[in-house]
Amino acid sequence: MFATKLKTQLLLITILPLLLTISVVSLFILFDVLDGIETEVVKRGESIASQASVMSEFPLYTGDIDALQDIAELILRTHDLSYIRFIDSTGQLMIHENNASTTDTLREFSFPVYLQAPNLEDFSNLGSDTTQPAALGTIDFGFVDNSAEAQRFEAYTKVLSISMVALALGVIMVYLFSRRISDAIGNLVNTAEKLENKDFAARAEENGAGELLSFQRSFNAMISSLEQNDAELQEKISAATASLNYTVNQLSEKNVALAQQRQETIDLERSKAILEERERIMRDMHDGIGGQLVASLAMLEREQDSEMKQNIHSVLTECLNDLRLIIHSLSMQNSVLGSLLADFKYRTSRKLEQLGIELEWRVDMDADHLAIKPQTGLHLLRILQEAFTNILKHSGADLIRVRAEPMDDIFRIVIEDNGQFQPPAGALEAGHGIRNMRSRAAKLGGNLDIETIGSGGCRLILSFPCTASP
Amino acid sequence: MTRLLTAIILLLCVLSQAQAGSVHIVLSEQNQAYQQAATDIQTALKQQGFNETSHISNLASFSGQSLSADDLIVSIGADATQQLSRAYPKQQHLFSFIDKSALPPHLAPNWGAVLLDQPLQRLVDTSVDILKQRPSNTLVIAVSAGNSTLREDIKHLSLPEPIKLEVLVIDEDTEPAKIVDKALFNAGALIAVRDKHVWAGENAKWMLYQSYKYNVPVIGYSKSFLKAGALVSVYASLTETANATANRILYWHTQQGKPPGERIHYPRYVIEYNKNIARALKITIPEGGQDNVRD
Repeated sequence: MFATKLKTQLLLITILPLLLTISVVSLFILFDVLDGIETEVVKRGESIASQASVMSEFPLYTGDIDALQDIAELILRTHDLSYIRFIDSTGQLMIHENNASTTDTLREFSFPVYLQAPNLEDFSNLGSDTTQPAALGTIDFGFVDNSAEAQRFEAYTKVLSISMVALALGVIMVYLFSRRISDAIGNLVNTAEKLENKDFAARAEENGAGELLSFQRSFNAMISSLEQNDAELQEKISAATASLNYTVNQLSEKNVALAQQRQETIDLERSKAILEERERIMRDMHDGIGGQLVASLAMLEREQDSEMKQNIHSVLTECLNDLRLIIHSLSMQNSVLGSLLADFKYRTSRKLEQLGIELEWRVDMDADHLAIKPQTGLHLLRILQEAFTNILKHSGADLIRVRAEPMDDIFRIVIEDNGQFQPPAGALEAGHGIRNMRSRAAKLGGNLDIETIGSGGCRLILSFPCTASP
Repeated sequence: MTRLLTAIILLLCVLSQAQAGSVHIVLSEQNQAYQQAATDIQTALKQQGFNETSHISNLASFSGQSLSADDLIVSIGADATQQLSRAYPKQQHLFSFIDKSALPPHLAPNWGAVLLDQPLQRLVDTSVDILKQRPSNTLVIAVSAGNSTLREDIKHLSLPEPIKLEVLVIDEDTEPAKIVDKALFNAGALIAVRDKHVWAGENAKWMLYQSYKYNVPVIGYSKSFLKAGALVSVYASLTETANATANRILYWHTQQGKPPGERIHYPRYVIEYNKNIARALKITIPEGGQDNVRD
């Protein structure tokens, strides 16, 4: 309600009934004492009245004023009264005596005086006088209640002191006896708060007694069980999280693979489309241009031999060979370097024989296992054609050496001649043919070196990366 | 001795064929005191072997009832005595629990009475031992002027020497206390008598008060006097009065309804002193004078 702390609540729970009990008991005692004091005062008044009644009965009966005067003075002195007066049965004042020294608050009494006749008959109903007692008069008197006031004050003081002492002792005893309980329950509350904050290592101090101690032990046992369950739950969560992460990774990898497969499929579709387009172009060139060239050569065969015929025939044949080379390059699929070089040697060697040029052809066996793409083959053939064309056109050589061999992770083709070509400085770099060769070599991912050797020969070194097919 | 006589009478009663009638106990009032008296009488009768039925009724219910000539009417109290003696003048009567002064005049011959009051001589005899210890030997008796019975008894008193008797006759209009007050100054003792005008109500109170004031011992006639301040009292208890009444009934029964020879009977009595009053008056109680039942 208005107390939130456990100790305060325990103190209030125990002290309030104690306070109530002490208050009730104190009030009872106080009222009893006050009643006793009041009874004493009344008894004193009745005693005085009884004495005055006995003494004044006969004077009142006989109307003896002098006797009443003596009685009044005697009682006034004896009992230290403030005043006393005698009044007869008709209400007439007979005697009034005052004590001038008293001015405090008075307790006043008024008692009637009766004339009670004695019953002198044993057999009371025979001749007995059954009349009511006759009133002789009234005695009024008052006295200062100093002693009663002092007694009341003393009673108040005593009761208050006893109540305070009882309350203080009660509070001390309640504190001492409830401290163990409140400490024990307080520990439980603190532990419960720690537990609420996920502190499963917290334990309640087992400082109670009896059932409370059992409760603390049970509470600690419950915390231990909770701690174990929490640990097991954490393990399960960790395992589930790891499993989930693994699954997510697996899914990611699957997605990557799927994307890769999709890209490969797209590439394959694109390659297929390019291949189909290339085959269409190749068929059109073969059936169209190739057919026209073959028909032109056949018509030229029927003409008479002449130099012009020879030249035209030679040009057309070159054109036809070149067309075949282009078609071949377009149609090559999974071709190997060895067959490409062998085909180039076959088409070039008859022409070199006609010109009286010796050809040394040496190709490493690894070239037969080195797969090249059709575009790569075309670039290689163009570079070789340009190299041989330059030798035939400018060097005047009679020997051409060709070597093809792998070196580490590249493949190198070397073409040498023994010609007499003396090019001016920078001529080897200025021609369009050489620039085209370097450009093709760059597209192959390699490079092209040209140098002069001997008295006029040249050496061309083409290096490009390749991977041997399995 | 009395019991032996009673037993002999009963034996004679059994042996002889009694011809007495019924006993009718009539109460003056239907109150506790009279009923107790009637019950005590019946109890005493049974204890003494009287097996006849005795009928108890009050004055109102009994009036007009027809009786056999052999029946006995036992009147309890003054009213029953007065009325029944007039209503049944030829019937046999036994008056009980009354004073001597209450006996009706001109009674028929068939009657007897058991009185509450004691013979005045007993009180005077009791006062003799007291007066020996007093400075004055004057014995004072106050009696109303209209109480002729008592005044007659006073005339027949026997007083030993040197005791003097002072009789105060009090008129109806006079306060007895004022008359007695003057006499008490030289009195040796004051004898109280059964006189309603003198010893009743406030008069009795003030006479006792004055007696005590003048240190004059009072000789009373009932046990209540001891509580009221008398020195000594000579009285018969109610049980003894009932026993005496029962004895008279038995006597009547054994005499077969014949009238008794002796008419007035006094029950056995006791003399009892108030020790506190005796101590205050400095009077020594005579030896053997306390609580002994006497015939």
